[in-house]
Amino acid sequence: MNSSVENIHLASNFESEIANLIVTTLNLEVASDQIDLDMPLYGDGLGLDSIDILELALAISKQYGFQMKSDDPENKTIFSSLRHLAAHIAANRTK
Amino acid sequence: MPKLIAHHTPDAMIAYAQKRTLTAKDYLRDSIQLARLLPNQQFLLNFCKNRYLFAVGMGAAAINRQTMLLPPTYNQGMLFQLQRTYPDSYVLYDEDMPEIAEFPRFQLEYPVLSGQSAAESQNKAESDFSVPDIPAEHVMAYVFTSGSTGEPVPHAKTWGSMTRNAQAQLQRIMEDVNFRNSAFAVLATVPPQHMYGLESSVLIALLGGQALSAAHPFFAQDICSELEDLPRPRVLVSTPFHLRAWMESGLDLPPVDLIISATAPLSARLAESIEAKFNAPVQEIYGCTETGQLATRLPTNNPVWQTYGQVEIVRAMGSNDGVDSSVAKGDYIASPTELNDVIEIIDKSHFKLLGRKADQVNVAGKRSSLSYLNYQLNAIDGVQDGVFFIPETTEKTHEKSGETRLAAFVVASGISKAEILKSLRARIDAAFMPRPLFMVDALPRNSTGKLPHRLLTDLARSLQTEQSGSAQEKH
Repeated sequence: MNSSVENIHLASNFESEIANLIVTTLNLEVASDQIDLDMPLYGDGLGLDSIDILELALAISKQYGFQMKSDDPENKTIFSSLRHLAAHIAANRTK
Repeated sequence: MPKLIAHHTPDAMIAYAQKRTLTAKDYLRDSIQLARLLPNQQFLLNFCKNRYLFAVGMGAAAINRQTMLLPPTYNQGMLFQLQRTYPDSYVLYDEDMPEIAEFPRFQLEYPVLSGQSAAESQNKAESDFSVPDIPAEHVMAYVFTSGSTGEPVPHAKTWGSMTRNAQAQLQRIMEDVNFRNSAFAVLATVPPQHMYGLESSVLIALLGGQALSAAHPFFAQDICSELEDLPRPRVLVSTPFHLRAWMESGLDLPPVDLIISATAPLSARLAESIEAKFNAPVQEIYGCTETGQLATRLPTNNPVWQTYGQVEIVRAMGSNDGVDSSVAKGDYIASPTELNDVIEIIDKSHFKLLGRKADQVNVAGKRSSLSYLNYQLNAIDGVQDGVFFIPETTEKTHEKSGETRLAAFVVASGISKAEILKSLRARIDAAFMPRPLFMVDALPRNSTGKLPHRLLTDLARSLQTEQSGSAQEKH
């Protein structure tokens, strides 16, 4: 409970928006304010897999107007945490 | 005796890799050279992500009469089991080395040969285009299904059956689309390590005399740029899951001349929109790991499936579980194999697919069985009782909100939910991880100890209501 309250303070508005996108796109059972900014999105963190990543990439392309690519050398970092994903979207969005 | 490749001339295209074209001659040179360098264990795990390197690895292994092991998933539990059952194995890989310390390993790089040795073999190959023979009975691969008791079950694929299978697929493609006798290039979004990807990209190219793209595109943008690098006619080999994401991406999609889909049913709406977009046919393939591909249909034309070659689908004899079963046999199918789907047989080479059997699960085209997943869940220390559960969905909810995941109920003591999920992740494919996992005091078993789907549905519903109620309280 305390940690989630803390996260609200730590996460920027945009990071909260992305957390929300993740939860609604993937029908996750966690509340978006419980996704820790630095928790790994894959595996033992939030538990996302490649199916989720493709769904998420589609949602991001629709909402923010840019496409993910496999040959992006930053891909491992981009999906490593909410903080990195939000930063990547913020830097590349066209809408 | 069947040949290593079906290409008749040394300059026939066999692959497109990182903007380079590779000919039959290049492939033979690379495979023959690699065959001399490979470790001499009986079995190999071919982890190569670059599809050309995978194909070269397979060719070299064929020349050495080695057998590839193709498990359904590559998590720690599965690899550990393979290690125990097939100790005489090595790992062939190109990029990321999987964490299996005990196997010898061999790294393959692209291009396979460089410098002087390449020039030398080039000269030799130019004067002499002789394609190696591979005995029809050579077991090229053991493709595994997960089984229901935790032990993966091997299905032997011989070079002879692979050759026949590819010939039948090529013939069907030529019946369904007019390529005016030009060879085609295949781009696949599915990995060559699984039966569908192996058949419809690697085998159709090598044994059907066509060409493959070395790429393994994932994002919608990847599919577009890889397609653009291929000459036409182009064939896209994919799944309903990838095709939906690609079609919805909003990208300017390059022309494709045939779209092949398998692993899960393609919705009529998606098939129609693909055909309208590309003015090219959509072909669906039906098959399973045990038998390989069995039949195709053009879904916008006719809902009926037609088997390949001399393959027959017949009613199962002596099935005693009260459920109608169907068996595939004949042609390249080694022995009659019971199918895991509910099938309406029209005649021995035509049928309708009515659905999958209750025990079968399919998430984004990946298949498993509830009995296997339940076995793995209950094998975790601290889990007293546990069961996986397929939530009910319709095609409509599916298209709207993506893939439906499994749920699970667990009764446990001395182990947390996070610990259960962690153990489970090492045992099963990520696609089948329960979402959600409900921790309960007891499972709703009826008086005979069974768990009717209806009672589980009710329990899931009440737990979900409870959860969303408590989540709201927090705000």
